[in-house]
Amino acid sequence: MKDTYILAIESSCDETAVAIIKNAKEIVANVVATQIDVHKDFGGVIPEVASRIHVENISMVIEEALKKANMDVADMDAIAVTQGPGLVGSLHVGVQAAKTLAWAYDKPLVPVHHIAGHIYANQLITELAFPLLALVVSGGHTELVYMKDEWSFEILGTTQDDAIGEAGDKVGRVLGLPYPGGVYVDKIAKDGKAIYTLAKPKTENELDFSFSGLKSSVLQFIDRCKRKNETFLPEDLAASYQETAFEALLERARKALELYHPKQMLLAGGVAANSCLRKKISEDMAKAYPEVTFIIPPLSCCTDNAAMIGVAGTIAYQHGERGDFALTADPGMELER
Amino acid sequence: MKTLCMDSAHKHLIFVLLEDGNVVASLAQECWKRQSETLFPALIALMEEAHWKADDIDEVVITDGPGSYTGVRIAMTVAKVLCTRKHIPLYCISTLQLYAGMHPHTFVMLDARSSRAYTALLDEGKFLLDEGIMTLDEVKAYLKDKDVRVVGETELIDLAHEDVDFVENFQALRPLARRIDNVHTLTPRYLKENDAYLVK
Ligand SMILES: [Zn+2]
Repeated sequence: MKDTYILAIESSCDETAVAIIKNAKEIVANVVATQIDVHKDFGGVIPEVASRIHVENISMVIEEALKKANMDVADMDAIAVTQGPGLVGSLHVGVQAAKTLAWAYDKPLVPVHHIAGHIYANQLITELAFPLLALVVSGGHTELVYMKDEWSFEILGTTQDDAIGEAGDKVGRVLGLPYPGGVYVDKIAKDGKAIYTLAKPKTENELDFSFSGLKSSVLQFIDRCKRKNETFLPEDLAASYQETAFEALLERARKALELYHPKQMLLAGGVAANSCLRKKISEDMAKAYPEVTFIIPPLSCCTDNAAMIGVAGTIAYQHGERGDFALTADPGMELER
Repeated sequence: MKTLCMDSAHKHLIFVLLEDGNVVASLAQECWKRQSETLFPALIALMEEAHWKADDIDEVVITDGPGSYTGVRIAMTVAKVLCTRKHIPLYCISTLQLYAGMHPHTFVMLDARSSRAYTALLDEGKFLLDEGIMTLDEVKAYLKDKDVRVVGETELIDLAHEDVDFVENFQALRPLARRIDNVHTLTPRYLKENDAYLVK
């Protein structure tokens, strides 16, 4: 069979990324221009700043990817792009760039949902088997996604307020840790013990998530200590926060496993890089559900990149998904359709 | 020589297709905040009308600001990607130049929000007063004793509106456009660079 090459562009947040993917599983080129140092100075991503850097980087990142692959846009079967969700001004840059390539080289345009990308990033390391349960955890998302088949998505549960990554970043901030807070919370939690009791997240639907109450509980804990002139170890508070947050996550995941009996459960998104969460799944969950294959993506697949959009884009392309030239950024794009 | 002129920086979407400097096809429509979805369908229709293919384009001219932040990025992203991939030259003019055209002594004012305007005074396409931002009061004071034509969002200071022929202006300004040496490093001129937005 003829090989399929896809050039993919991802610009939904603060990484300008372009990748070239062969046959939905082989990375031919994968270039990411990260803005993290700029946003560190501001303590978070400022959307307008992110958009400005995207427009500055975009043509260079495309050229780098083609050079690394030693290929031309003419060699591609299609152009895939993250249409959403994400920051609208950032998405616009990637979408216009993708449309330009599709137009100038007469190639099909394939819009991709960012979360489908995170899920399909796992196909770079293993063959996916369906039905499948994906636990998507990132700065903008906390979702349980059920995939009955290759290109079908059903959202079983989602966060009612903060995303797990967002909550972690906020906890990091109140503990005086650098940006991105969640990463540093994980770092210091390794030297702490989960000895404090924090509010357990509750939701109406048993597969939904909520993290704003837990975040407030951390704030209240710190206030109480200050008021009573008591000291606490930030390491212990970080460990307690992670324990409570991830137990809430996995409690929902366990329920979903029992209700849907998938062959695989995979972790996806930026928070998939969290060492505590990885350990809980690869050790505790794997032991409790020996009939399920648990997939933990390598750290390189967790952060935003275009390789994942290229893999998902290839599957979408094979399933006949096409965007027309009126395609525009969709910051609130839905995964289910 | 086929020239593609493109502007999405402010409230319009403008295309002019020039063949050796002559207008072959053109479009200038109000397109406030819809440039993203409208640009390619409109361009494709014009290219068909002119019987041009993407590969026929020899050079591109765009406006590089000031204007709406998103708007100015739309055409620039397209131009940066097209010109670097097809190895064709890119030229820029100011959005304010496009409003003034080659007319003598023309003051341009575009809405910069918060009772401010992007402003410049031009004479036959050349700046007599550099681009900047003025409050509307400053604009009124500046214009008080001047005998100049005023174009742009003149309603902001209760002046009668004068129509601008963007197509004619783009065509006339082509020889004045600045050639961009390194297209990859081109960024929009936003003019509003307060410290919080300074990108290192
Ligand atoms: Zn992501």
